[in-house]
Amino acid sequence: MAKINIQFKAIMMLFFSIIGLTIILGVIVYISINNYMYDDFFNTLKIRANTVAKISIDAAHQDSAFVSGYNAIHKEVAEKLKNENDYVFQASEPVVAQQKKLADSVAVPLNFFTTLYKTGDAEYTHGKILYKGVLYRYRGSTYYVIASAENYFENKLIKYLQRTLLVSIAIATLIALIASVYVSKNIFKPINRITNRVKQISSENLHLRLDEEKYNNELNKLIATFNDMLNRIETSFETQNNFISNASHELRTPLTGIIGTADVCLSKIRSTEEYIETLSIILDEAGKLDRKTKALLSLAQTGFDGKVQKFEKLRIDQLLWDCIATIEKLDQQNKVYFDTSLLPENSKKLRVVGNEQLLHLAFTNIISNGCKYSDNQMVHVSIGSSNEKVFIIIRDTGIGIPNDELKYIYDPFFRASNTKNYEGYGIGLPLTRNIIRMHSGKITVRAMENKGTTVQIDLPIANDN
Amino acid sequence: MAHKILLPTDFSIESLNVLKHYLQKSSKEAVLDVVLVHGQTLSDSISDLLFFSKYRILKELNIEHFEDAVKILQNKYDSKLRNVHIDIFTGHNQSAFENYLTGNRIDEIILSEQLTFKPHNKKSFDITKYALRAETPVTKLNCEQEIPKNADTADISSLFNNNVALSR
Repeated sequence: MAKINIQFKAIMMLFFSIIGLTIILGVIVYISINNYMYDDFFNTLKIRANTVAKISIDAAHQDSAFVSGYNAIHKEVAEKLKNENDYVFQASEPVVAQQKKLADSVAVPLNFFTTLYKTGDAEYTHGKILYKGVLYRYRGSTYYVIASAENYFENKLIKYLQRTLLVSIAIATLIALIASVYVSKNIFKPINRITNRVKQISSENLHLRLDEEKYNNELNKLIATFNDMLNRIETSFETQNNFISNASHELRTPLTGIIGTADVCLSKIRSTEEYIETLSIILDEAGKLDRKTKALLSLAQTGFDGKVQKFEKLRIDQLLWDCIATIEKLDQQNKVYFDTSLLPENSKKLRVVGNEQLLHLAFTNIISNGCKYSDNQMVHVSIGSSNEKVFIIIRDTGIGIPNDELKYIYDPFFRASNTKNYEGYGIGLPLTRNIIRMHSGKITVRAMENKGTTVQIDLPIANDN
Repeated sequence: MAHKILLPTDFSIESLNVLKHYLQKSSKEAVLDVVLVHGQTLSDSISDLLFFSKYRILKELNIEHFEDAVKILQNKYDSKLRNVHIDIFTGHNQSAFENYLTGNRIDEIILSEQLTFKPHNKKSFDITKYALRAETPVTKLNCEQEIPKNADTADISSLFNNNVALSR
């Protein structure tokens, strides 16, 4: 069953639909022409019966001049029918008994006569012979007039029609087969190409991309999606690699400090002051290690899809006031200006659904970064909202980020080349991004080296209900 | 009766600072109708003209950021702004522009002294020259804004705190 692939299915579907249509067409043509033929022949027989009735019955009543003229024309014009037999009977009482007798003599069923007597018109087919009966009234008496003949020409015609239809269906089958194979081959060729290309790509050559197809919009979309996915996979691969090396390096640095200090200290007997100094250095380094592991832990926790966190409706401006208060408490030198010039009049436009602690952490992070990297110059926090989103803009005039390093800022432990003089672990921004992502928001960072950084955070507004 | 004003725009966020400035200066009771107009040459293709739709053209211009920024202003000045309408002007001479002004019952045109027009796309054109010669009163506003060079026109943050100079 594995052999039945989509290509085969497509060929079959195309093929059978074409064949099906042709056959339906042929059958309809055949049936309708056949019916028409019989109707037509019965009409001929009816005319024949009427003529015969006129000739024989009117002649019997001495309308001879008219009848001889009629007869002559009839002989001249009427076409000869094969196996023609005409019968004329005068109806007499008792009706049923006579009808039985007549039916036996003409070799037609009795109900042929019954219908003829009732409706004045009857048809009967026996093999190739067709019978047509007409009720003829002349001067008060009634006659059964029956004309019968073999449907010879028509039979020949039907045979010819059958032959033509069969031949054309055969030709259509052939064409359908060729066309469906050709079309499906053409449609599936690029797909096979894509499959082969994707098969080549593995973790060693993630830089490979699929080539675009000519004139094929749908496939190009698929190719673009694939390439996009490959881009993301490549980035996350790199991030993963960087993360592990960075994390181990970051965790090792304080450990090396601790081990080194302890080692030196233990090499000989020292004074109490020296022990105290050594232990305080070790404590300091251990504290650093602790903070780093805590930061890593929180980063890992926010990486999960927010199953543990509680989400509730909160007002983003209040949250920002809280954040600013926290930051000013943290360090008296921090200066934050909260710009409310574009605060919407309707406070409903400021409500978002989110986890207060996490959002607090995220905003505090960004704002304190602004304070830190601008040497405690003023940081502007602005807020505005459209009908769907709240925009929070945090702008500082600090050292900025070099342009070519902007793309790495969300990598854990990454620190820009101009941050040597500032303390930090490179955990804050990835953490913030994870938090904003959990709230289905967007974070955009624009920066110019030595001019400042602008962070824009978009959060969706809570629905009213 | 609302005061209806027209502002030429190049769909950059900076061009909205004129509106922001005007709204800050306007009186508290003012009721405003705002039309933001962009000059856009129409396509020559007959099928494009046949199926002409302003809605579609605006959609194809990709001005979501601009629309967001307009919404921010609209939410801020909810009680003043009765309606903000983004429109395109497709005419090519002064009388067409006069027609547009009359048709939309524009009471005043607001221009910025600082802002220079940056074409949004190949078919954009500056309608300031028509605005300056129009019979409708024109007000030029000094927005005291620095126009940064090579700035991202889709940067919404440029709408915020431009008039509050960052303290050094």
